[in-house]
Amino acid sequence: MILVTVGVSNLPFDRLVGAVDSLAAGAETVVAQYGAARTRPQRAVCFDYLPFVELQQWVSKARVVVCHAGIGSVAMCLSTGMHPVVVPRLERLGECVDEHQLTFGRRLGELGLATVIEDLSELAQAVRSVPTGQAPTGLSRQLADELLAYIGSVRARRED
Amino acid sequence: MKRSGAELSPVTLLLVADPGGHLFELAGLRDVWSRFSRAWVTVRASDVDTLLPDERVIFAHGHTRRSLVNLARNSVLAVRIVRRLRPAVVMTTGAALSVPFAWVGRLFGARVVYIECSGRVGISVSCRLIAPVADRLYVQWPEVVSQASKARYSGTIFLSRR
Repeated sequence: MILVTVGVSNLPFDRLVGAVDSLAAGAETVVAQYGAARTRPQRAVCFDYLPFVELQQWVSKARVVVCHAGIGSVAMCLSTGMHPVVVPRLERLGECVDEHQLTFGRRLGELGLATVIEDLSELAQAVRSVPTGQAPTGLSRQLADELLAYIGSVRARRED
Repeated sequence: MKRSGAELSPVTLLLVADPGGHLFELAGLRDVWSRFSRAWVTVRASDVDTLLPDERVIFAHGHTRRSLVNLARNSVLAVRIVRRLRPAVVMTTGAALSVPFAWVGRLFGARVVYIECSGRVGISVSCRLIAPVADRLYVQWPEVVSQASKARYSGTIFLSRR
């Protein structure tokens, strides 16, 4: 199953939602959460928004997730060991309030954590050939240890 | 607001985040916050109960982005909460909701730890507004360290390879 999700943004992402039907050419089911899009896929199981738990369930069942380059969607995929196909929302097309998704998406691609698609004509091929699974990602031990030490020291000073 | 007899007891940590990616990242620091007494402040949304089961959660006024009315209401709420809970540390991943809680926390003697969202390879408006009162300011991209004077990089919450 292919899951396409555009997150909770109130801005439409018609470019990605409009490409959903191109993914539904084969026998594989396509599920799409289209958010504020003004277009509707014809060949997918559709939702406008999904409660967090239901989205998690769809992500865990999917072979591949296609999502916008928002940290919520991306981290949900990475934390389950999945390699998402990421399509950054662009400010100049009214899909986002600034260009942070483009820089974030490109950096994910450089790190090999996601396949980044800026040209939607490449989406179907990327979805067919997406790597299955990847090295788990998660909390940096150094960051955790520094925070533990710092909070512990503040608490100790207060108790003195 | 979840009400319980423990509501008035002081906490070590006050954890503040807007729903979505910010709350998801702060919840991802479970290895850290689970070691301390704590309370959470966020805005009501569908992810809160799933991310924070059995946690003590106080709901603030949303939406927070570019809303001066809710900034004022949340500033009043921040004073009430910080005076009651006396947190030693206010820890937050943004966004706009964090600003009044960081400033009010600092005003009442708490230390402020701000962790910039990894979804932005840069410095956000919230980060700039909190930086003056932040005792620790982490970014999650090494190339962003030079963009804020206090910033440090020690890895990430979700992107670090295990």
